[in-house]
Amino acid sequence: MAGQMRKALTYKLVLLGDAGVGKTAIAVQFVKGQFNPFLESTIGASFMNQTVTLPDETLIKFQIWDTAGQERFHSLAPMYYRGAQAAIVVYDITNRNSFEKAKEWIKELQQQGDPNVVVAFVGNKVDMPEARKIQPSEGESYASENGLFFIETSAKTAENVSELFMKIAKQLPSIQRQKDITSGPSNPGVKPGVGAPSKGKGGCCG
Amino acid sequence: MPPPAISSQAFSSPQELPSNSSPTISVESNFGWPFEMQSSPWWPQPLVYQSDELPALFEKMKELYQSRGWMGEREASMFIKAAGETVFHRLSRLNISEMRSAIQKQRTVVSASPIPCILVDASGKPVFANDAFYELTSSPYLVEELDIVSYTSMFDVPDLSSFAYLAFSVERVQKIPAFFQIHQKKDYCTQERHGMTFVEGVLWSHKEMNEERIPYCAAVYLLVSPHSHAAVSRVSNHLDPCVERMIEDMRSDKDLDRHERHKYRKYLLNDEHPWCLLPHRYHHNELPILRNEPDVPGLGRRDEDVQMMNMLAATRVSKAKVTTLPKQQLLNSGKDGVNSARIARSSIEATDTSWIPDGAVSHCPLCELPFGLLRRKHHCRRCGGIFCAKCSTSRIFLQLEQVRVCDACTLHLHGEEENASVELYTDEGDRTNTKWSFDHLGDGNIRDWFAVIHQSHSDQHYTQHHSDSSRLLNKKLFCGISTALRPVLWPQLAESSEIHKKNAGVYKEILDMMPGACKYVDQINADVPRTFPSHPFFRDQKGQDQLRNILMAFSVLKGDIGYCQGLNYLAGVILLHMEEEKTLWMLMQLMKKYEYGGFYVEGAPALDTCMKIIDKTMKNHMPDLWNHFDKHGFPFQIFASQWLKTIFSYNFPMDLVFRIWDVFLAEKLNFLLWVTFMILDNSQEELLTMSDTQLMSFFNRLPDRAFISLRASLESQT
Repeated sequence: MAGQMRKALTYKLVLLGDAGVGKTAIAVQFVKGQFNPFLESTIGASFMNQTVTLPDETLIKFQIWDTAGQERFHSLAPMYYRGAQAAIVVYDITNRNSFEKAKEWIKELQQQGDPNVVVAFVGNKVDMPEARKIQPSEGESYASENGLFFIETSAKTAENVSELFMKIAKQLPSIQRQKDITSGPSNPGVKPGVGAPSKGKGGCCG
Repeated sequence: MPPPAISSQAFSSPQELPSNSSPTISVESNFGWPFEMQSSPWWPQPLVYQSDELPALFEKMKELYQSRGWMGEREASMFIKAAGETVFHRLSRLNISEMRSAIQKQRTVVSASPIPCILVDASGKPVFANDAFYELTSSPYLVEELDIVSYTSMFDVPDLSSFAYLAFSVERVQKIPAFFQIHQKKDYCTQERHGMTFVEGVLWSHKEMNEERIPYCAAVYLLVSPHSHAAVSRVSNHLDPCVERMIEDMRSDKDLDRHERHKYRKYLLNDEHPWCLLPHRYHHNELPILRNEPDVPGLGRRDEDVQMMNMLAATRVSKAKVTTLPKQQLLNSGKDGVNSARIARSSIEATDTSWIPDGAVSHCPLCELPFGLLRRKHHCRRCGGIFCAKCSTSRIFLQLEQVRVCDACTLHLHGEEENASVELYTDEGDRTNTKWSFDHLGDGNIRDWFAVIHQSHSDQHYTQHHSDSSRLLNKKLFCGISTALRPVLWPQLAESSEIHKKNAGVYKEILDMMPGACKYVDQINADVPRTFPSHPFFRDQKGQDQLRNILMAFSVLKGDIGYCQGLNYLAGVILLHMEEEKTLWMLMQLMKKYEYGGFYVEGAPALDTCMKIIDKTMKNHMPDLWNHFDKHGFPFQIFASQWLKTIFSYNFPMDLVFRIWDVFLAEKLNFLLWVTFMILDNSQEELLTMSDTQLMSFFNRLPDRAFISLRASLESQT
């Protein structure tokens, strides 16, 4: 039905991670297909949206919340990730510290967030292999331990960026469908034009 | 310009301690008497009273307080006793060590008190505050570290001696003896001290006590509290409706926590100006007023038993050394008289201003000709001296009128302006080293600005309310400052040049320690290239280096903030107008005078408060929009916090940013809230039709039409 009506399902996605790991760059690459080395540092959060089409013609509309990374804003973070159905936690493969910060973010999401949130663990800046400090295996193993999916990207060369969002998009409805099955008729599930049901957010903007 | 603050060095250098001072000095020196009274220029000669006169005097005071129902007999005696002890010690020139122990005794009493108290020393410097005070204010600073509150200007009336009582209380304000009488509006004002708002009453005391004037008491600072209503209404039926309303509101609601209540109340207090800029429907009775919980934990009924002496802070005896105005003029003149006094005092900070009484001179000091029927006496409004008309031909522009200055002062003023000549930049895109002097800017222009800024600062010192001068200043600021003048006027508005002067060389010293001393090097290095990356100045390595230096120095100077994202934008905006060192001090001043630290310290309490104000105001005044946002779960706070935190420098067109800063530097945070509401108000109809995604896109990067209408709103205020 969704395919026929070409209605988009809207999902809130939040980008988290240490300052300067390339959250904004990933979002801009995904939304505009550009890389700008002179992006302003994000204050608070900025917002973008982009729609992707799944192979089964389902339209997934991402409301992307790109957050400020500095530790100081950590306490404000719940305001941003509240109600998100997907989160991308980014670290910089050339920076060990950012990897540790990313792990903290994962922990926080697990403790505070909705357990159904799709979380992607992303190592960015693979275009700088000579400066690499975190091996893919390390990220991979952490992700699998925590049941996240892992991918390495480069916002600069666009490597794996759209794949990342595609993968999230594919996971999103599956979670919702699973929910439908497990919770039975009491849960209205995702309806086209209604958006994400449990949050009362989103809405149809097709 | 405010009266000169007493520099902290005056207190830290123990000079001429009397020989009989006890060996415990070093232990207590952090709150004691580090200087000998007579040796300090800030310490006026003590009142000469025979010590045997005092008990009778205090007895009379006690009776008076009692008869007016300000306190019960027991409390009155306790209070008078405590006050009397300190005063007595000072008046009889008790030796230093005994005086200290007297203060120490008070300190012990005060520290156990559940009533928030501050002790101030004889010079008015806060030396101690108890736990209740810190709890109440959530002050991150020790009071000892706070700047001196300068009373000097208030006490320079000849032949009058005054005590300043500084008393803080929340629970039992009504029990503080109201030393002042409020007859007219000018008899009181609201004041900001230590980040809190006080109603301040001023009474010029008389030697003779009578029903109207209570002796020897100059000022009482009452912390406006939910419980102060009774006290305030008892002393005055003429209180500003805004204060009353605030008190009323505070009694009835519990929205905010204590910290916010104290730190940011003033933004809600100010009835006269910022909100009246809003369209008429937001004005006055509909003022958004934050409400506060009436009860402070730990300050419950048990206070009943606490004696009045807990509230006694310290006293200050003063006798005027320098005259500014004749007593009668200060006391009896209407507002105009007081204003002219301020003009005289503030015009451009004379070194030793004194208003010479008419009878004191017989010859003009410049031409040395005698005064008479044809050669009349004229006061110079700058130095206060008396000159003949021929020797005082010049006028300076102050407030809305021109006032007379003598020829000697005129020369001096010209000299000052020449000294003040600084490097100016032609425009933001072209920061070449073009030097400007004031001559290029057209005579009168810069002087007008200086005059009106100084006047406004000076008036602010006296009153929270907007004076004519600040209205004029605002009018000028809303028209905008020309780009060439911003480098001079911004530091003037922010009063950062004085701090800069005081701390000359500090910046260099800090830079020498870099980058080792800075904990935030990585973060700063990451953010510097990401600050206004499209601006030519910051694309250049030189601009980035300067910004880096400033941010690193700032993180060292302001350890509680360090570095936080957002500061880079603030520093960037300032740096576009002036050199590195000036930028640093202006940035420091943003944190201090403008209280922007509250946006950047851990937890950002200021942000939280502002969000509540915005939410509340929207709910009350734009209910449709509020419901619309609410319905869509649209987090407007995210965008508003971005705007406020960076003073609109993030994602706004630069020219508009500068214009917002122009007014902000005079109006502070209030104005930023105004801008926020203006943006909402201008686009309200459009916003009401938008879906959540459209809303987010709208606020993420405001469309040009929003900027255009905001510009129009600014214009409409001129």
